[in-house]
Amino acid sequence: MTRRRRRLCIGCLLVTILGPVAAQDERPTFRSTAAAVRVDVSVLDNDRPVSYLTAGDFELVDDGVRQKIADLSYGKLPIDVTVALDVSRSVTGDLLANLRRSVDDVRGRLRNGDRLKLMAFNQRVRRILDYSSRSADTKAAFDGLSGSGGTALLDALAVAMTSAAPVDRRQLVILFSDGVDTNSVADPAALIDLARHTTPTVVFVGPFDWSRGSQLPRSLASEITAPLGGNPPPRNQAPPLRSGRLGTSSLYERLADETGGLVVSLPGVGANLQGTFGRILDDFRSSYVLYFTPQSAAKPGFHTIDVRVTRSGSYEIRARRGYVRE
Amino acid sequence: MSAYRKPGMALQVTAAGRRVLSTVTLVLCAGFFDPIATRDGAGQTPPQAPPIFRTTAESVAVDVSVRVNGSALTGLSAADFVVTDNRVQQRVESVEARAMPLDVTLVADVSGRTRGSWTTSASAADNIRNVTENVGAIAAILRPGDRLRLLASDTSVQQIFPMQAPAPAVVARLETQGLSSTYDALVVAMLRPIEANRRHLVIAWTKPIDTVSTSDASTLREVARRSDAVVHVVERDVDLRAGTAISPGGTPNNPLRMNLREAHVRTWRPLLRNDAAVLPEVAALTGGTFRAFGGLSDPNAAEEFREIFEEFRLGYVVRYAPRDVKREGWHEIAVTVPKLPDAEIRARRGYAIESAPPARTAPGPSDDLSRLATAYARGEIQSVPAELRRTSLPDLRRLIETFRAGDSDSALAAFPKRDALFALELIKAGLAASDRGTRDAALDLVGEYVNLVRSPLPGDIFECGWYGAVVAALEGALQGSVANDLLPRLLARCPADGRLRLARAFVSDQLAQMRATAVGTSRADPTPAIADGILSRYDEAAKLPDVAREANVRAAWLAHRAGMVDRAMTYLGHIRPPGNDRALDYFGELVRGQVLRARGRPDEAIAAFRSALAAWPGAQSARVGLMLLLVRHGERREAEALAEAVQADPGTQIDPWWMYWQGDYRLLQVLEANLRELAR
Repeated sequence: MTRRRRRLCIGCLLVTILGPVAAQDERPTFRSTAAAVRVDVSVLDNDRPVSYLTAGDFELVDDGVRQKIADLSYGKLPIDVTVALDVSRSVTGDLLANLRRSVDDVRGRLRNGDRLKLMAFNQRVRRILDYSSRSADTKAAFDGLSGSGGTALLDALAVAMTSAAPVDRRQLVILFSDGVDTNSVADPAALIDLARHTTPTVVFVGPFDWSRGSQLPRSLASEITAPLGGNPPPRNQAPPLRSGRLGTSSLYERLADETGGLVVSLPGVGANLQGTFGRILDDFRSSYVLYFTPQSAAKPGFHTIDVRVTRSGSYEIRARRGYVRE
Repeated sequence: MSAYRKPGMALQVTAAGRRVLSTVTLVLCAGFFDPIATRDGAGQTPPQAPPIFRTTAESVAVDVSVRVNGSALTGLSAADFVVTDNRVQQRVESVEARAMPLDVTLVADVSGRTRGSWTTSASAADNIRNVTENVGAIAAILRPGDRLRLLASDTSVQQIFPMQAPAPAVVARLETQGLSSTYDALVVAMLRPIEANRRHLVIAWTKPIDTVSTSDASTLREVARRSDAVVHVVERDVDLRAGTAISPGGTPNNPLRMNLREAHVRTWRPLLRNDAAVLPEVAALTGGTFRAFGGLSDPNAAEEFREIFEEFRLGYVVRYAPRDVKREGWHEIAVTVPKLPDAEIRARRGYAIESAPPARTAPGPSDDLSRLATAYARGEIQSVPAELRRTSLPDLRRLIETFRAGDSDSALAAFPKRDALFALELIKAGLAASDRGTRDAALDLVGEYVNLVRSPLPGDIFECGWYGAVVAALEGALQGSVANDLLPRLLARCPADGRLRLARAFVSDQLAQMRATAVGTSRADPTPAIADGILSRYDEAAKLPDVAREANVRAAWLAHRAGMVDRAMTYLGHIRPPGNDRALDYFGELVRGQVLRARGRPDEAIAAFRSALAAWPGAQSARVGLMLLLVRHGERREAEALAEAVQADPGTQIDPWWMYWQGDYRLLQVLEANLRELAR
């Protein structure tokens, strides 16, 4: 099946153009024309992660050209998690307390080598907890927060996506917001462009119907045809981890689609939030990392990629739309 | 007559009188009362009561006219008069014939035709000619030593010439065909203090329509009760008041004219003051006459003036020392001549002395307010906003409401400009409150003081500056709808004020943005149709040199958001080189960077973002804008460094871009400092 016809609980296809596959260089060399490409792929069967596939079970097509999978790993690479919290005027009180518990939950699920960074934003984007911080610092970080000001959601996302991304680590950005942006200088087109140039997988979470917010310019919206229906679930139900790939003209769905991420619309402030961040991390962890070196002389610019599983079965595959070669 | 001047006693602010006196004192500051004091600011400093009323603690003087069979009667003495003060008979100490020189103020309503039935289609030339003739008629009657001044009432009160020796004056310039502010003009006229051994006569040549006065009928009555002037009102076209004389079908002789009048009346009736009796009452309160004429019976100015002067000159000044009556409050006067029971006797109806404020037993909001107001009056302006910020919300709301009610001994009553600035402090604090009740109280205060700061003349620098400051506060509090409602009125007062003109465009822009955000469509951009209307307002503002740069920057950003890329580029082309406003320089480069990025000119966009960073080092938005382009260019290391710099920024300075949607709020401190200079 093509991955575009599949629905996944969560899927991450992370694409990075690398140096040699086994390179120890911590920094992706985007200008390299002889670089290898790293792809994160999530595969589910009946909403359960599939962990038994080998490189031979995958077919990967780059701009219509089938590629040879050079290597594959599963659940081994450490993860850098960035949680970006909207602390503008509309995110206050009980919701802040709920967010703190959710961040604690994520910290509790980290494994050896994983790291957690916490960012907060209203109109100002700032790091309140760095990778090297101790768990005890989380309380202090939250104690210093209070809801006020406007919102630079897109700027915060841009900063999170641009932050240093070591090639031997995977990057997940969880952004919590009410979806309203009032102060950003980054615009939708620039964000989509940034998503194609960078590696993090982005998941949007919030008490907000992400399919409604931040409409795209018509020229960008027309590139997406599959509609996404439905409303947020009732308060007493856990929110679905909805694929961004089926997005409409929403910028957030489009960005999730580009990065292999998700949109999670909460039914209300605080509803089932505590488990949501943790599930996002667990689902992100349960994905394959494929490496390939483009077989033909790769042209610069955006490359669409398509990943399939050749083994028989009904799999749900999640992958980003492509990558940019400099 | 004269009201008391209470020795050593400022005009006490009571619940009933505060609003009147606020208006009065602000009006005085406009330059009618004491131009010199206003120019050098002295009017703000002496802690004494403005000498509005000719008063002494010991003596009351009453102008009295006595007519028998329509003719003035002369030759009466003190023994002939009986005067009661609050029904207590007083001993008349002296009676003088009116040989004293006269000061005459002619109040001419020129907001429409000054002869014949009133319409708005007045010819300025005709009005100038008519007013000049009236001035000439009065000048011909006055005697050596008398003086005359002319106030014209239109959208603003215009002092055509100050009190001066009577001479046929040439009225060179007159604004006509606007709205009517007769009440304000009368307040200004009545507030003039009487100099020793002179009399003051006010003649109002008007119609029964007042549409824009700051003063209401209640204010007018209160001022009349306290004024030394004798007011005569010649009211033309009284049919306008009730419309009862208007036949729907017109008259056989002139149906067209009547139909036109009908149309005018229908148009203007909603604006007529409800209190139709106020002008006759003002005349009666001051001992003057009210002379009414219908739309088809034009008064003969020379004849009316002659009658008024004759009656005034042939009257008496009766003096007495009040005895056996309570000092404070309203004193009703009755004057009779017992030996002439059929005589028509006209005298003012009384005078007022303000009551002392009641003693309080426990501190309350008014005490807090008094303390803050006293501090502000002393010039301790920095402590007041800090204390207001510390005030709890319920207390802040009570402070604002107490201030509005005037239920306080305000030390600011004698300092109207500081009073207006103090109101601005309360407005700012209230608008920043998190509860709607306090914000609404602040908005009510805005509505009130927009009227109170209004000068009788066209907006002066303080009035326009205050408007600019309060609009900036509203923009900062995202109260664009309120500002949008106010701005047409403010611009009518201050048409050349660039910041108000720019605000007219900006609040439309802000409102469109807020409406889009309110429905959850973040960063929803305006449609070209909506943007076009707002851009035309920016275009208007761009014609004014002091705001042209900012108008073009904001227009470029709006055009960009609406997808009007070419137009955005055109606006950018109009932006002149950097000036002395760093934030505006920064805005300009930031907008330029974004437009060029969207235009597909990344190198130029990068240069613009770098310029923005140079204008405002460390600004987050410029860093992000530059970062996005560098990633696309493959300049990954510098982009990552910028991302790191954003996250690690200590947050010691703000990015002006965060205040883009708060308009002139970024300038509020400067605007307030300018106002304080004017109020010093």
